[in-house]
Amino acid sequence: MTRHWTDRLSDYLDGHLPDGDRALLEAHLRVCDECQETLDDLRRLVARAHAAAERPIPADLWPGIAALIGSGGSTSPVIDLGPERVRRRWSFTLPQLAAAAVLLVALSAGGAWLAIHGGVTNATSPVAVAPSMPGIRPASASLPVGAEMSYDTAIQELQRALDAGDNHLAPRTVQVLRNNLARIDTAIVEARRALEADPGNAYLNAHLARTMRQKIDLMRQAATLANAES
Amino acid sequence: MDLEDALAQLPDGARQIFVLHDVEGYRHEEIADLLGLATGTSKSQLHRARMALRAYLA
Repeated sequence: MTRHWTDRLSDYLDGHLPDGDRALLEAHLRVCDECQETLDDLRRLVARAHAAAERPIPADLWPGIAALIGSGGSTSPVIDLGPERVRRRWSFTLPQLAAAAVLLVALSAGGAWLAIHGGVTNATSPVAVAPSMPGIRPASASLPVGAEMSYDTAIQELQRALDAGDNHLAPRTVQVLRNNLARIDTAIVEARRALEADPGNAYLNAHLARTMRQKIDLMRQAATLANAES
Repeated sequence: MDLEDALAQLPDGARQIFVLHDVEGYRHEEIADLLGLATGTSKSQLHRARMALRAYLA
């Protein structure tokens, strides 16, 4: 095993090696058991990480989310997410985007549940960064917890923009959007309630910030699409 | 050791990149944009994170 080849195993695994380098590495793998074993371990690790993304989320949320993500929504605006995304290869319609926002909130809520029940300490978080919505440029930082006045202002402005463009979206899209925004609101209320009991919990604080950010991102995208249709 | 315990042992930056790429499915270009890194840095940090996790989980 050489460092030169070991350092390229992740690129190989992810399909990022140029053709020539890939052929050379594959030739090396045929004669180097140690590199092959390392590659097998990395492959198992990545599979395990993928499985971690599919952890069960609160049962009451999942059926609706799964149904919405699976639904066609062909009359809705489509956001192209690019062909290379590993597990989000498809394009999202606005209802699917709304469902995915709730899914991300629910996944974060799963971590919050662990935080409340002792699975996560105050010092660490199982998800270190709040990913923003697929298809939406992620924010560079989480919404600062406590900045609720600016959050409320942002929500009011987005709500006005969304109301102005509402009639340009398909009725079903509007219904799905409003239902999912209501679910996010519920998650925000629950997160605030949990924080009252444990105000110093780092994960809960991050979860609330993530959830509020999801709402802003979803409303911003919806308002943009609604007004683009006008 | 389970994966979450192993993740907790990683430096913050490496953990963020591993979670974003291997758990959440973000591309290196997106991670680089999100975290203000070069794409190559995201790739090399991901590899370091994976190798460290492999060692923790052995």
